[in-house]
Amino acid sequence: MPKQFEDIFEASKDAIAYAAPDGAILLVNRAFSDLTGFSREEMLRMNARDLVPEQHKEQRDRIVAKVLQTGEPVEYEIDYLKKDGSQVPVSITVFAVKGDDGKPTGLAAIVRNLIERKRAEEQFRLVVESSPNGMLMVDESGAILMVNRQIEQLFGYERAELVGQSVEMLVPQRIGSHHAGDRKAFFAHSKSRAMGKGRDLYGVRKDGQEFPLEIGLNPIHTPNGMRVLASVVDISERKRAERTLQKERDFIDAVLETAGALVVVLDREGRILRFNRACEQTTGYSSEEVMGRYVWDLFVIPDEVDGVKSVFKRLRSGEPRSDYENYWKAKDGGLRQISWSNTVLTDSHGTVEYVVAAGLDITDLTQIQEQLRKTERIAELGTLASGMAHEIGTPMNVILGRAEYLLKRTADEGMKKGLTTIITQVERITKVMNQLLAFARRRTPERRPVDLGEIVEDSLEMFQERIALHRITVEKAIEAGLPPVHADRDQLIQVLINLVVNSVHAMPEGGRLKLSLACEGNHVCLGVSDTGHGISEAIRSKIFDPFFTTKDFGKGTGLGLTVVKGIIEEHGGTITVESVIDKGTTFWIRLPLDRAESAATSLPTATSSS
Amino acid sequence: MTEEWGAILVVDDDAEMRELVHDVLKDRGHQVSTAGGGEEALKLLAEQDCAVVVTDLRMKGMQGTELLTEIQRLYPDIGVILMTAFGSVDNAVEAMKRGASDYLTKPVKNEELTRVVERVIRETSLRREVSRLRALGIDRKTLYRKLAEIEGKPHPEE
Repeated sequence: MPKQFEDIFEASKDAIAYAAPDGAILLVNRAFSDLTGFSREEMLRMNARDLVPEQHKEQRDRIVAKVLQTGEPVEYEIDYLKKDGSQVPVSITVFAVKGDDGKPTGLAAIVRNLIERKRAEEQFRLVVESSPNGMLMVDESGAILMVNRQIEQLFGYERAELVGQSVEMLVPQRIGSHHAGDRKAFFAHSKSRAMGKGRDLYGVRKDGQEFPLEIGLNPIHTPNGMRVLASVVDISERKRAERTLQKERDFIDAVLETAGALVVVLDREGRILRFNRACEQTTGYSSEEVMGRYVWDLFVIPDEVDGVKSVFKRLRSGEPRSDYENYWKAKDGGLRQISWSNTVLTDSHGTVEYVVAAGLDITDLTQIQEQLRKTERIAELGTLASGMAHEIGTPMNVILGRAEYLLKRTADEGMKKGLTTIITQVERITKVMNQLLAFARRRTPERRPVDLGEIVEDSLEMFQERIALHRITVEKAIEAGLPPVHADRDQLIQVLINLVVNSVHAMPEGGRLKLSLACEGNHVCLGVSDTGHGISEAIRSKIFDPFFTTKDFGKGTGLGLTVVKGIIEEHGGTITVESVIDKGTTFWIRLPLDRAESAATSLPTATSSS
Repeated sequence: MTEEWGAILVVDDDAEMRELVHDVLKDRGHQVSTAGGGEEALKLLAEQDCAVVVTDLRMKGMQGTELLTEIQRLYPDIGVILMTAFGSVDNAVEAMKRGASDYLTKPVKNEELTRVVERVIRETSLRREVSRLRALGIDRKTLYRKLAEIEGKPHPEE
């Protein structure tokens, strides 16, 4: 052997031997000696067969015979006997060395120590065995090569019942055929991935019971072809937990969606994550429209953006909750006043993740409170007025009486004039006080069926002189056969007097006063129109407020229309006003018809006519 | 004025008011005395005859309604007129139900005051006359006529 070959031969990590066809060892390298523990000299006196334990001798002989016969190299794995009596797993590649005549002159063997590989395999087995997941390995045909204890427990089979069987036995029949196809596809384009992405996977136990599972697939390339190591997790528990969670979510959803309160959930940047139905109804925006938008970009009016942002900032930096009131701009531009209660949701580190705001639309409430405050103020005023009336009644009486007394006794014209002035002024005060008291001390109305047409006529009669004096013509459009309304007659007359007086005052140069009465569904509609100076839009909203008057000081108390409105509302009716400057004003009063009542009770006029 | 007008007692805790009513009625020729409160009024009534008492409703001490009750108990034939401040019509109505002859709302015009007081005096005198006639055994017809006069209606037989 040339020197170079000898060096290569000696340096090889694989053990290399050359033996005669009968097995007598002729040549070994150092690695061979290291592998077996026999010295080179000892080995040269041995037969290759001596290194093979009894149980493998037959296999070895068969292979050697085949190699000598066919000349093809064969690789096989057996154990070798070492000098110390122990065994070492080896992989042997044996081939025939041929002479010039083509006949085999000897056998060459390259022997690789498999101890490391075997150890790795053992480690792999242990890892698989100790995995908390069920693990099984299949080959390309779907045959189970290996399972761990978890698989036995999961599926209820003994290991021996599984190894060598088709993996489809673990798959419910309804999806078994799919599975075989999927498996083939996986072997064709294998890469590590979760199995059955996007759909639920099920396994079937020995007892036939199915259970949900999750499977991870890992392709393993081996000299014997590709294997797939599947990691199987029973997810029954998780599914159950998910279902419970989903149920809880559904419950919360249902609560949120049916709640009358507005509920908005924001992320820590202020973007909307949740927008319940009450929010949709109040703002006119749909949940989809607002999702992900900043709450202050959509709803908060410019003046309040800074305020809202600072409230948000405080919440985000640790304030656990806060109350806040602001306006939200609805989609149609309308403003709603909302009273918010804010709180935060934190993660396990205490960092604020979400800000939850629950709000109540208090727009209407505020209006009601305003109304209530006004009413209370008026009631207070009434108490004050009647108290005051008692106190000033007597002194006013003294002034009035004394003035009248003196007026009667004096002949001095100047004196008479002065006294007359005193008298008229006291009368003026009396009139104001009386109106104020009438307003403040509204008694409980006595309601009975009332013919509105009759009331209109009666009221007009009182004004005949004044109407004529002011060159006012009266027009009446009174629907015949109107059903009665259930009302307090005196109060309704008071209403008409107030309205007619206002109309007359509005037409100092004369004009046309029109009174109309018509049935509108379940209501009677009474209209009082004049062709006077009209009411400007600026003050139209104020005309029903107490003490609001456009008349010169002393001519009006500013209570007339307040009284009218109060009476109409007490009767469950409404009063509205239409007005055009210099064209005229119409007051519309709608009073509910109590049909049941009117059917049961006949009109007093009807009874008196009999 | 004739002497058939009975005397008037004006009761008010306000001196000015008291004097005004006194002066106005005195001018009409009535015999008027005054009292500053209910107790004083009762004392005066015990001493002198009186056809009508004009009293304020709200006074310090005895209230007008209490005085009314006392007068009705002691002198059922005396007419009582209550004066109330405006705004207390309810009190006046209540007083009327309890037997007051009439009521006046302050501020009252002198004319109205005189008219009401004189009407009540007339009623009271007539009523007194009826009782007197009845006590004397006067015939029914005269009695009816007198009663009709009180009611202000002509007698059907006349």
